[in-house]
Amino acid sequence: MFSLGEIESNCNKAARGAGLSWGVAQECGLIARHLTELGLPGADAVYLSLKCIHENKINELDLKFGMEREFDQLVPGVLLGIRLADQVFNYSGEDIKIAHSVVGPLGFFGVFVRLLSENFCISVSWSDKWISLGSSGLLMRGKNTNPFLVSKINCRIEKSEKRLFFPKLSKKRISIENWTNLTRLAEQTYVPSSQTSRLYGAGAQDNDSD
Amino acid sequence: MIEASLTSERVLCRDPDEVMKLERLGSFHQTRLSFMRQLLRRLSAEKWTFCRPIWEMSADGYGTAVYTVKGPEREYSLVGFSNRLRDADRSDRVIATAWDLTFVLYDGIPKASDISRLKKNVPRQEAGRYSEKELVLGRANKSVRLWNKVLELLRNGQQPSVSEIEDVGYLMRTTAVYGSGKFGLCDREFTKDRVELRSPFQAEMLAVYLVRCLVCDLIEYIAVKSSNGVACKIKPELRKYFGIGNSTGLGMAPFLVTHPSLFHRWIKARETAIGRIRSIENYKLDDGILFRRLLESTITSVSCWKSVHVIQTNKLKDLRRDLKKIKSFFNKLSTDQKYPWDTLFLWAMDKLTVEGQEALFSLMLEPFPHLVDELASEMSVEENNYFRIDGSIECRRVSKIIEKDYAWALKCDYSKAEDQARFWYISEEKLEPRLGERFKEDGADLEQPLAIGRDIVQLYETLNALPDNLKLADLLMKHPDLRHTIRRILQNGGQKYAEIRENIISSKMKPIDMLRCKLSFFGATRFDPRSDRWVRICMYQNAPFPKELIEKYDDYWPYPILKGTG
Repeated sequence: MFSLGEIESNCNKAARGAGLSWGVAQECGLIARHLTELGLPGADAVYLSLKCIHENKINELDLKFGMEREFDQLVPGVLLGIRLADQVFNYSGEDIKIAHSVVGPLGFFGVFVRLLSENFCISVSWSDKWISLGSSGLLMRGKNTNPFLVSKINCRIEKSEKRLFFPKLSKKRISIENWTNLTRLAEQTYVPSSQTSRLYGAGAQDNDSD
Repeated sequence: MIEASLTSERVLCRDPDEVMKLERLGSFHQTRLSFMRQLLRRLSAEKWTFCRPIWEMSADGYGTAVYTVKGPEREYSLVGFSNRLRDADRSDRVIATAWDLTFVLYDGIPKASDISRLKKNVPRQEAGRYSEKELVLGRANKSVRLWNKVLELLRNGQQPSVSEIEDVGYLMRTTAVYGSGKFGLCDREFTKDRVELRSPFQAEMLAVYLVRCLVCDLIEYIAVKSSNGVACKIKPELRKYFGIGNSTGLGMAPFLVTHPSLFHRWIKARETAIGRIRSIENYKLDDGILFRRLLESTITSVSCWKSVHVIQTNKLKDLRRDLKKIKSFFNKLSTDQKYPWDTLFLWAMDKLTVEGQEALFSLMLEPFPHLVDELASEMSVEENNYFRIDGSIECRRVSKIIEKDYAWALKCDYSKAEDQARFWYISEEKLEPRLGERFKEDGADLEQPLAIGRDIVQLYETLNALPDNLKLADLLMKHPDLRHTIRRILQNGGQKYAEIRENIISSKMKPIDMLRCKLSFFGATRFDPRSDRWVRICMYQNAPFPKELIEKYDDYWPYPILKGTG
């Protein structure tokens, strides 16, 4: 069982290790955390995107919604979500149909969890799955919560006139299947120790006891 | 509430360009607002009860102890394990793998099965795993200088002298105290709404307070068990002089950079408090008498404050001289002086060193609990994890924020080698922040995003080359590397004390200033640096033990009347 802090931190570092910028990596940590807060497999969902990013050396998506554009590559859900969230001012109240092959669609949904604090209701669907977060809290239908790949996603983000509240945090934590893989990516952000750093890195020098 | 009330006051908060410099932050002292003092005030006011339900120690002091505290709504327990440790294995560094004492703060009263689980994990510290029932994890080592000396005296029915205690200040010192979700511990999210844990680091402060009780009980227990009936306990009037030590290295330093909103709250509360005192129009005799008493105590305490590192020995020289100057000036200050504390403040800014100024400003808060203590409730913040970059914002707005709030960063020339001499990184071996020399060591390609000033300049220069009306969504698509800086700027908007306004990758930067600043907010005293990135301190020295805490609490415990110091 891992704490929310551990989940956020490991996913943040893993995203950086996978080759993303610090800012996008930070978003990945938060996506994993927010999904976990809702009782969903956040770190697993983020890992699916990061695996795709790492293996395909994807750094960013030059993707602007509203423009017709073909993608010949897999689209990581977290990057797609971050792009859309940045541009939500253009798409609020519209039905958004995304006809790309999206890896880790739950990670896509995870980006929008934070919009609840700005009173946006969010609903996302893929294959048989439908997830909604709004005035009624978190609602879900269908089984396939965290698939690897879907061929399309439908999404609607709508400003609510009511003040929306985040569902009460569950203290129950979930196991994470991909923790080792995430940790392996995170390790790519660490600097190996040298004899000097081992002895003096923290500043203790050779006088460390009294 | 405070913002509203301040509008009707003549409050003079200092300019962040003055306050947020490392030299000044690194000269801070404990105050009424320090987290230890907040905790003890609450424990006393709410009459928390203390008990020691488990004490299973061998005659030589190895085993398990549980201390439980009960407040109005909840109970917490310190579960401590005293372990055998060879002298050769005793190290304060994070690379150590065994310690004299390891402990957790448990949420509630642990069952036998919990203690059994903790016994397998807590002595292993970072290598163990913890549950949401544990709030804090830590360890402590015996002071080689003092432990055996005091034990021997007690065994022989003798008491240590005040000066012997003062030389070190503690029998054990903690070498790490973890909280907030580390290694599976409970996340702060789950406890932040509890009134007793709302202020920062209250669980950690409670754990350390209870460790101090355990350590004193332990040495007395061993003395009694290992003597021939002549052993004694430490006299209560001497016992309080034993604090708990702590040694802290670089790992703590980046906290102030990675928690800008929280840092802003701490500094703002302190600055508002100073501002309120400066705004007092008329001198009151009782305030002056109390101030003089505390000043005398400080002069005595500082005379006992020992350090061998040149950073601190120079500061101590300045401080001793400055305290005498304060005494002299205050004695001459007319009781008819309008705004007497502001007069003292302005004089200090002109005549004292930064170390002396900050010692004075901490002292100035003491006679005024009614103006200061309520600010404690403003020192925590829910860091906005739900913040989203609004991509519709135009780049020109970000440029304007930089020009207004980050002018300090734009003044630095980061092309100079000395201004980018260092880089912050995470060490592979201990997963802790470290500081490397950019042009001498490997690893700069794995630099952590802590060079705030440099990154601001990079962003500003990029923005200058782009159309003013370009939207952030479009900018971020082309420049994902700027995202963390943009997020920081937008999140910190209006929080003027959120940033250390200096280059923290400069060759001249002293990380110890960051350590001291944070530790002063904890309430630490006796800063004793071992290098420019490692410091020993003392916590809870002179603080009341549980009995006195409830029976006769003295809120001015950091200012003792020392006897027998010579």
